[in-house]
Amino acid sequence: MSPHDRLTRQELSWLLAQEARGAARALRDGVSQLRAPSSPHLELGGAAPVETSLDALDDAINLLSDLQSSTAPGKGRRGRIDLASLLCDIAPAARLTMTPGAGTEVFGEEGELRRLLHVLLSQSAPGVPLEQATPDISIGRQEGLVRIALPLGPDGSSGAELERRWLSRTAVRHGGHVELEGNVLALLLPADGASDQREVAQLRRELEQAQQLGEAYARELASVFASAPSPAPALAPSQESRERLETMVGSGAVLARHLRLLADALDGDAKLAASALGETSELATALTQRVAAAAELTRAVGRIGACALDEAPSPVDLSALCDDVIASAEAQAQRYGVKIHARLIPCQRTLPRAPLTLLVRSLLDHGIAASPRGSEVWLQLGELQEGLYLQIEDHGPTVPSGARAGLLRGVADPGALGRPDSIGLIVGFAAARYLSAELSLGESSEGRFVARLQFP
Amino acid sequence: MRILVVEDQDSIRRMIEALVQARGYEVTAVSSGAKALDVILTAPHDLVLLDLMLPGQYDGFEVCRRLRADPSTRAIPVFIISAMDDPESRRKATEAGANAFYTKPFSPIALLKEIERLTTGKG
Repeated sequence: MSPHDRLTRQELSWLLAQEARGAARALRDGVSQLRAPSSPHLELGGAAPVETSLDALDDAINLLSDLQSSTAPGKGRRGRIDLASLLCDIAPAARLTMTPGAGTEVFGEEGELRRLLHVLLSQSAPGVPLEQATPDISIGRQEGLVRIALPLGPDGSSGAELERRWLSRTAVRHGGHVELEGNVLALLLPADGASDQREVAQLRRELEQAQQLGEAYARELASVFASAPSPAPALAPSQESRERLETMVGSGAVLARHLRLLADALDGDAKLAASALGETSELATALTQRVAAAAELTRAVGRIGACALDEAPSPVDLSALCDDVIASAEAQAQRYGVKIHARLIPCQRTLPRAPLTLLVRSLLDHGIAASPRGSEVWLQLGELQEGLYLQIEDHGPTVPSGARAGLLRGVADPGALGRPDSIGLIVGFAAARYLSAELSLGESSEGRFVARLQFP
Repeated sequence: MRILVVEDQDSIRRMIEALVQARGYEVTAVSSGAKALDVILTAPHDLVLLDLMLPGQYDGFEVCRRLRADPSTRAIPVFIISAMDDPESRRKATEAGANAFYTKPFSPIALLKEIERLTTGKG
């Protein structure tokens, strides 16, 4: 047997590290027992040096283990390895007895398996190069294991004993074990098919457990939902608020049709004037501006007329709805030279979407129209103790408290208060009542005009 | 009683949201730590159900630390629901100030019981 057939330096260092670690643990346990209160009569004057020595020993072992793991040789081929072929390769002169029809393949890394077989064979023919060794080896299947057995040789040295312990530990790491019966040493490793089957069986068990757990959780979920109180119904609009908004929506639809006709006619006049007088003429410019204003008014009235009031309440993501409204109002904000900013919290309410959209858009339109060019409109959705609120703050003039209710009902003159036409506020007020929300006007802490909606 | 759910996986977020809503709690659900911190400072909440692995600037540990550092949110119970089941994650969550730790998958009923315990002090 060549020196290369024995344990490598790394394997030996690993084995020594295991042995030394076990010895150190036993030693430390012994010292602890000696120092335990149950033995008060024992004075261990040298305990501290012993501790220091043990710590140093631990350090050395750890270093040895690190070295062993960091200098481990590179892995060889990994996969299905036929141990019978490997045995023939390692010890071609060995007398091999095989159980007919039994698969001798295992799954593993060839280098490691080769090393295991080297050490195993060296137990049978100590001191003889493996190429020349002629041990009697039997190989075959024993249930799900591949069993390789051979008679022990005459080597009774501590080195051989160490190697058998390494063999045993390594076999266990591979899912197998070593048996010593009389003079016969046997290495047993999981057969390839068997390990596959075990893995499949294990996966199947895990899958079944996961399915059972999933079914149990699904039953729990179902029971929670079955016992859940039915969601609070959305507040139905009062007859008065319904009729008020219905009137506005109906009027809006009729007005929008007429306004579209007028706006189209005006647009035609503006084009005629532009072609006759030139696009930059004063009259053509004025007409173009009026056409744009008429078109904007037509769109605003059209939105009122298009509001669907027969829609059932449904869960609405208010934050997303505000985002949509802001996006749809961007073009108008650009025409007014105003920027829209938003501070929104995610929240959901069960409400009819169309009147809610009309409400937010109407208030936003009013804020945009009221703000001077270059200023900002802020839309904020938040929540306080009293509930959910939506607030639109603009840079237009504020309104004295005595005139606010009149402005909302359309009985106060917005022009006299420095505010634009209050159609947005009037529609917003009606839509808010329809949604059982409360719309109020006020001032922010910075002294800006605020339209504030409070939801129930 | 209002609960903030912070979970980046849509399906799990919707499931938790539906579960706690079914038990009568109001829910705000968000998918990132930054959004969670914005929301909790804007609206009062009684409990935070918090995932640990969150996208963006703040993971669950950081959200928890920030909630504990702010006097206005310090007392809100934080309930971690995470797929991370290692002792290190549990230790870090505890150090960050979490009140409870559940691993996914979780029993819905056990989750609701724990929520009830944290929000009412029972159990």
